[in-house]
Amino acid sequence: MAPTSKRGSAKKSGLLEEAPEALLQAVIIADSFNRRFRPLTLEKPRCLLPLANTPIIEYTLEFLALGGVEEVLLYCHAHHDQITEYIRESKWSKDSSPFQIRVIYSPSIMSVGDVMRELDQSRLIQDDFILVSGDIVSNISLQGILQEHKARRLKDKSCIMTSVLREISPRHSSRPRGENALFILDQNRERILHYEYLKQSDSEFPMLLPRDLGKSFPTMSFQENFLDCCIDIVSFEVPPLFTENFDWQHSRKDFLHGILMDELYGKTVYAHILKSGYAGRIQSLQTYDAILQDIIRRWTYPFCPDTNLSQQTYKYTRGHVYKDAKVILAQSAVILDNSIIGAGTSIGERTIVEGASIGRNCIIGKNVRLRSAIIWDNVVIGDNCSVEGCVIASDAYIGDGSIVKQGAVISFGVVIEKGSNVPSTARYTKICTTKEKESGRFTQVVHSKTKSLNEYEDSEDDEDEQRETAMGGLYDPEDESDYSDISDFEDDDEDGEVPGKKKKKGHARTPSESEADSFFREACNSLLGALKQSHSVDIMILELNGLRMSANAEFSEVRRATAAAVIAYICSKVTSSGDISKLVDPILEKLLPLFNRMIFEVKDQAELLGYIQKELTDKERAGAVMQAVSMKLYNEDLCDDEGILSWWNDGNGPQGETPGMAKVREGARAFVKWIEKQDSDDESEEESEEEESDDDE
Amino acid sequence: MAVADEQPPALTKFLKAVTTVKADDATEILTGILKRREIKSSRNVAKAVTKLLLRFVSQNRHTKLSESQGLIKDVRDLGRYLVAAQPRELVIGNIVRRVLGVIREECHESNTLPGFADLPLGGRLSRASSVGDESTDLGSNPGSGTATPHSGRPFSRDGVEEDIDAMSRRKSKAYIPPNLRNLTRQGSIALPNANFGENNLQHALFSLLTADGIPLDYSPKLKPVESKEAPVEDKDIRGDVIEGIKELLEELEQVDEQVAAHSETHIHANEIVMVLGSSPTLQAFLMRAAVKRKFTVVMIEVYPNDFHETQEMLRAPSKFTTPTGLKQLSKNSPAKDEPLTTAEMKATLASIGVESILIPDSAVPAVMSRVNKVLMGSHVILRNGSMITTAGARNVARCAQEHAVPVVVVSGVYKLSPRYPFDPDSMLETGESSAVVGWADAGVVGNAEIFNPTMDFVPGELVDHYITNVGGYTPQNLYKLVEEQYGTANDNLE
Repeated sequence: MAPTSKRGSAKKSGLLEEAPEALLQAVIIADSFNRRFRPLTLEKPRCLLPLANTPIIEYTLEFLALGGVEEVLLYCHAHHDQITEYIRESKWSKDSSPFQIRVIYSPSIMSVGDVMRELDQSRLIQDDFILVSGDIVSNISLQGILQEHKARRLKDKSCIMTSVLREISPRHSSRPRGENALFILDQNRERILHYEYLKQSDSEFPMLLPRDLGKSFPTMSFQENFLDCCIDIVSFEVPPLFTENFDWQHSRKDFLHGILMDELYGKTVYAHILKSGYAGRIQSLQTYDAILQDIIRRWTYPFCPDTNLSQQTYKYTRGHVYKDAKVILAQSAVILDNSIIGAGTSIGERTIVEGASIGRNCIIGKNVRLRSAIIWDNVVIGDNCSVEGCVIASDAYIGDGSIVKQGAVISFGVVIEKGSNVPSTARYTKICTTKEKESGRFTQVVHSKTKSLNEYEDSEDDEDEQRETAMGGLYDPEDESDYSDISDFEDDDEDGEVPGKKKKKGHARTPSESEADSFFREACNSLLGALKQSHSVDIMILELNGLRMSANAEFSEVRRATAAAVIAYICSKVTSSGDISKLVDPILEKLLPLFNRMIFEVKDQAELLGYIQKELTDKERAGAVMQAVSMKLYNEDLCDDEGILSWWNDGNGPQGETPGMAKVREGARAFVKWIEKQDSDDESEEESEEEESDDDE
Repeated sequence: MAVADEQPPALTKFLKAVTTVKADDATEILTGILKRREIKSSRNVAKAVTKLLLRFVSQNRHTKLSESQGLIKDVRDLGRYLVAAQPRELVIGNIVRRVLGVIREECHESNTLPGFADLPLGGRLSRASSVGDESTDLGSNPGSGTATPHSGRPFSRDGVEEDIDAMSRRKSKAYIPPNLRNLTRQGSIALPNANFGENNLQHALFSLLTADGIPLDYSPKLKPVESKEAPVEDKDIRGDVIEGIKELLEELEQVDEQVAAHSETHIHANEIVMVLGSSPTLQAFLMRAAVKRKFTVVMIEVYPNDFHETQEMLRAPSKFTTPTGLKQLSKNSPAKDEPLTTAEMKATLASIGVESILIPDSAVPAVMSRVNKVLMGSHVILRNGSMITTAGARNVARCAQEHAVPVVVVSGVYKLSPRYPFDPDSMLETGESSAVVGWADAGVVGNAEIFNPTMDFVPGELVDHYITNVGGYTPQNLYKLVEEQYGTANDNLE
C-alpha cells in the first residue's frame, strides 16, 4: 500500500504550498479507440490526418501552447511509430518548443481508462493537469479555466475535475450525431450532478439518478444541448481512481457517470460552460467535415489556414478563400467561397471549386466540379469529374468523367477508373488486413459489391486489393457501439483480443445483462491484467473485494472468475516442453492469500477445481496443468483430500462434463489415485513423500 | 500610463526567455507566439522583435566591420522569416529595417574612407540634409497639406506652418538620437551628396525603380575596400549596433510621452474630440492634454471586437469607475492580448476627470457635426499616407470628411512602414467569426457567410494629420519620414 501513502503526501504538499513550481501538464490521448475513421486510419492515425491541410494534432498542440502548458504527455497506441516519428521531426521537439513533449507508447492501452491507469503507475503527474484527446480544435484560453479550477479546489477539496462544455443547438452541423448525453447541473450551472449517456437506439431506457439528489438540490438544470469538448482539467486524484476501478474505460460513460452515481466517492465535478471561443472534437467523419468548415470560416481564429501552422504560406482572400504559394489556376477556373488550395496544386479550365479543401500538389482536370469535397495531397482528378462532399485521401486517382457522390471515402492511393460512379456509401481502400478478412463483416460486404470492385481491380496491380469497409456513412449516425475499446489499429497479439471483445459487449449497457455476468467479466479481466503486470496480491484482493461488493456477487462467482483468470494466465505461459509444476508453483504461491479468501468449505474446494478443469478445456497440456495446480493447492493446504476426492467423484459438475473436460480430468488421475491411496493409508509421512512426487513431475 | 505597461503573459514570458535561450530558439518561440496571435498590438510586436534582434545581433558571428555584409544578410534573413510568420504584422518589417539601418549606419560611421562618402545610406544621414528644406517646402506649397483646403477647421494654415516649424526645430534638437548627433557632427558625412536634399523625391523614385533589381547593400563597392583596409582597421561594430538597437527599444518606451507632448497644440479648450479605438498612445495623448485643457471625449464602441466589454461596462458602470476595479475585473476574465479596451480607456479618462461619452458606431454620422476633431490610433501607417487601424475607422474617417472634421492620427514612428499598399486587402487581418454571431446558433453557422475584419484600411485622402514622436506630418509628406527612417536602402523582406 505504499503507493497510496505516497500519493497522500503529494496531495498534502500540493494543497499547502499550491506548488507554484509545478509545471502545467497536459495529457493527450492520441488514439480514438474507435473505428470511425476506417478505412483512412488503417494507414495513418487519426491525429495525423490532415485537417485544412494541417495534421489534426497540430491544432491540439497549438491549443495547448496557447494555454501555457509546459509539459505534454502524449499517449498513443495505434500507429505509434508514425506519431513518434512525426513529433520527433516537428517543431514541438525542438528546444524552442513552448513545452516539453513526451510520446508514450504502451501496447496495453485500449481505452482512456487504460491511459489513466498507465498514468497513475508512471508517476509523471505532479499536479492537476489538462486531459484532451489528440483531435481537439480549440482557441479558448485555458488560463481562466485553470484559475477557476484552482480557486474551486482551494474551497472544495472534493472537486476533482472541471469539464469544458459548450452549448449548441440541436440541429447544429458540428454536433456529433448519435452522441447525446444528458448533463444535470446545479442551479448556477456550475456543478455537474449527474451524467447520463443517451443511446439513440433505446431512448426508452429508464435513467437512474443518485439517491437524495433531489433532496440536496431542489433546483436542477437538465441539459442535453451540450457539446462535450472533451477538454478536462483533471485533478491528480483521478488517475488513482481509475486504478481502483479497473473496469472504467471511457472518461465520460464510465468515469464521470460512475463517480457521480456513487456518493461513496464524495467527489464533485464542475462544468465550465464556454461563453466565447471555439472548441470542438473530431469524433467522426461528420464532425471532421463540420470542424473543417468552421476552420475555413474562421470560427477557430487564430488557428486558420492562413496562420500557416506547419510551414505553409497560405494567403487569405475575401470570401474565406485560402491559397498557398505556387497554385496554378486556369484562367477560366472559378474558385468560390470557403475553399482552400494547397501549394503546387493546379486547377484546369472551367473547373469550379466551391467550398472544397484541396491539398498540396493535386492535379485537378478540366471542367471538374468540386463541391465541399475534402481532398488531401497528391490527388489527381481527371477531366469532367463531379466530386461532392467526400473525402479523397492522398495519392488517390480519380479517372476522367467519374462521379463521386456525397459521403464517399476514398483512402490512400486508390485508383478509380474512368467514368466510374462512386456511390455515397463507398469506402475504398487499398489496404486489406488479414484481421478484416477473418472478422467476416468485411468480406461479406465485399461479395455484395464485387461488380464495382472488379472494375477497380482491373486498373490496379495484382497485389492491390479494393475493399469496402462496412462503416456508417460520412454523415450517418454511427450504428456501431461507439467508444468501443478497439483501437484505430488492431494489434497482432492475440491475447488482447479476447478481453477486448468481452469488454465491448459489456459496453452495450443493456439492462438485460445479468449482474453476475458483468461481475465475472470484470473480475476476470482485472485479475488477468493484474497478473500480467505482476501487481501485488494485496491489490488483487482489494480489487476483487471491491468488485464483489459492488456487484453483490456470490463467492462461487469469485471462484469462477479467479479460476478463469489464473488459468488464462498460466496457459499463456505454458510451452510445449518444460516443467509445468515449476511454472505453476510460483504463480500459485504468490496467489495463496487470494485463494485463502475464497475457500471456506470442502464444497468450495471442489467447485474451484471444477472451474479450473472447465477453464482448462482444450488448452495445451491441460492435463499436466490440472495435475500441477491441484497438487500445489493440496500441498499448500488449500485443498484437502476430501475436497479433491469430492471433485473427482462428483465429476459431472453443475454443467455436466464435456469430453474436453474429461480429458483434462484424466491428466490428474495419477495424483488423485495417489491421494486415494494416502487417504486409505492415513499415514503421517505424507509430507516427505509429497516432496518427492513433486520433483518427479 | 500604468495600463500601457501591462503585457500579455506570452510577451512577458518571451521577454524573459529571450535573454537566456539561443537566438534561433528565441526566433522559433516568437514565431509561435505571433502565429498564435498571443501578441496583437503593434507595440508589443515591435518590442518583442527588437529584443529578439538585440539577442540575434549579440550572438551573431559577424562582429567586424568587414563582416557587416554578413550581418546585414543574416538580419535580413531573420526578418524574412519573421515576416513570413505573420505577414500582416507590418511592424515586424519596420523594426527589422530599422535595425538594418542601424547596422549600415555603423558601417558608414566606422568607415571614413572617401570612397564611402557618397554611399546613399540609411536615411538618418540624409535627414541632415532634408530637415532644412522641409519646412520651407511645406510652407511654400500649402496645397500639399490636406489640412488647408477646408476653411474653418480647427487648425488653420498658419497652424500647420507653426506646427511644422516647431516640429522641425524640435527635430533638429531633440529627435536625433545621441549616436546620430555624433554622426552629424562629423563633417565629412553630413552631406553625403551635395544635391541629395534637393533631389529627395527624385531619389526616392529612383530607388523605387532600382531597388528591387540591385542588391542594395552596395557590396560591390564595399568588397574591394574590405580587402584593402580590413587588416588595417577592422573595427568591431557589434557594440555600436547593439547600442543602436537599445536606442530603438528606448524609443519604443518613450513613444507615448513624445507623442503626448504634441497634445496641447492639437486639443484646445472646450473641444469635443471623437476618439476611435483605444491605444496606450491615444490614452497618453488625451491624458496629457487634460492636464491643461478641459475637453469632452466622444468614444465609439466598435462592433464586434470591442463591443462586449463596453456593453458590460454600460450595464454595470460602478465596476468600471476606477482603473483598479477594472483591473480586477479583467484579471478574472481570461487574459487577452489587447492591452487596452475602450472600456478601460474610458475608465482611465473618467478617473482623471475627463468627460467622456460613449456612443455606438451607428451613431457616428449623427454626432459628427458636433465634433471638432477625430482622433485615432493606428496599427500601421503606410508609405503613401494611408494607414491600417481598428475596424470601422474608414467609415468614421469618411464621415468626418463629409462634415469637414479633421482626422488626426497619433502614432509612434515605428509603425510607419515603407511598404506601399498595392493590395490593401492582403494587409488586413480577418478575425474570428464568433465575435459577430454566436457559434451555437445552428441557423447561422454554415448558412451565412460571416466576415470579421479586425482592421480597416484608411486611405491617405481621409487622414488630415499624423502626429508621430518625431513630429507632425501630412499624409502627403509621410514619404519623407519614411526616407528618414529607412533611407533608400530597400530591403525586400516580403
